[in-house]
Amino acid sequence: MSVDELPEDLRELAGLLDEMGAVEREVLREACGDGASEFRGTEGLRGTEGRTGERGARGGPRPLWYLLPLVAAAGLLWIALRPDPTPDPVAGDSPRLLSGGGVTLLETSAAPGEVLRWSFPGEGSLVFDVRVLDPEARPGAAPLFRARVRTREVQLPADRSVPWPDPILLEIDVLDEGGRVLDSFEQELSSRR
Amino acid sequence: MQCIPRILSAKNARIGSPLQPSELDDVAQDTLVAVWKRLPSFRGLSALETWVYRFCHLTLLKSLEAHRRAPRTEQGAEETPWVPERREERFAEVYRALDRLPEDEGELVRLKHFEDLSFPEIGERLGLSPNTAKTRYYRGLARLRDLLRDNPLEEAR
Repeated sequence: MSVDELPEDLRELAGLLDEMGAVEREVLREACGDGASEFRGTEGLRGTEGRTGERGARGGPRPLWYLLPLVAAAGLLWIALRPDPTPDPVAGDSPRLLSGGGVTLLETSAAPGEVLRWSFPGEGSLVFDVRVLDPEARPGAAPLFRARVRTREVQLPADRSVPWPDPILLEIDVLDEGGRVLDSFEQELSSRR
Repeated sequence: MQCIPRILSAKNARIGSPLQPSELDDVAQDTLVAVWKRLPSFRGLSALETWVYRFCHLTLLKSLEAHRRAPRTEQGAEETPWVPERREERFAEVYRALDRLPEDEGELVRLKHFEDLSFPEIGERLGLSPNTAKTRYYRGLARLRDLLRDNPLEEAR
């Protein structure tokens, strides 16, 4: 059966889906450039999972942990390789703040409820904007509180040719709006995990 | 996940930038939450950006609806709140209905229309013959029509 042979309502739906697809591809191209489809396909992902040869629907659900090292590695790689317009001063023994950007996902059990951390490009420090949500709340509900957390200072080699520390230990205080410490914890960010 | 703010920014710009950058940050966080929760269901069959896109669309639309309903007392706030286009809402209905299809049928419809693949290409990707891919696609399309006909806005609220 070809598209032309489809009932009219299915043809209309197919047309709508085509329109959605065209908009989607256009937005993705605009937002992500031509590299938007670097992850397209299953071969690379499946290969590291040891399932080469099992493709598509036969592969089964992908575990959550699978993407975490990819996300962490991408964040670290971006931090390490990003172009720096101003040369870093030689820091000597004095610690320098870890300069970072991009988006990095971390997960922790810090209460209350689910915590997600998302890094933004920061001024000389890796700053996480934190939103803590009540897991019982309805979707779209306001967060319980918002907070900002900062990494501690990290000693980095002045010479960028030397590999940066891996893992990076993040010492994080979760603060409420009044600056009160709600929770403290350490989190390793590793490209090898 | 760096694509999320860029996708949202691009979509926001296309509809006349009704949301401010700070509001877009909130939408991005909400999107990230949604993506995070559904990450286990990502099977790597499509581009990550393509998979993430529907979350961006739905979260952005939900925020725009909230934005439209919110009382505007701040000085300098825009006079005319943005009203979602019918087309955007219709897209959102279809995205939601697609999520309710059996996984293999939903994937086929997405690959066909969103990734613009031919049936032989879809078959190659999924390990199916082109004819099987085509049969499942038509079955999925019919089921999608039924879902939209039976319950078009139920999931949206």
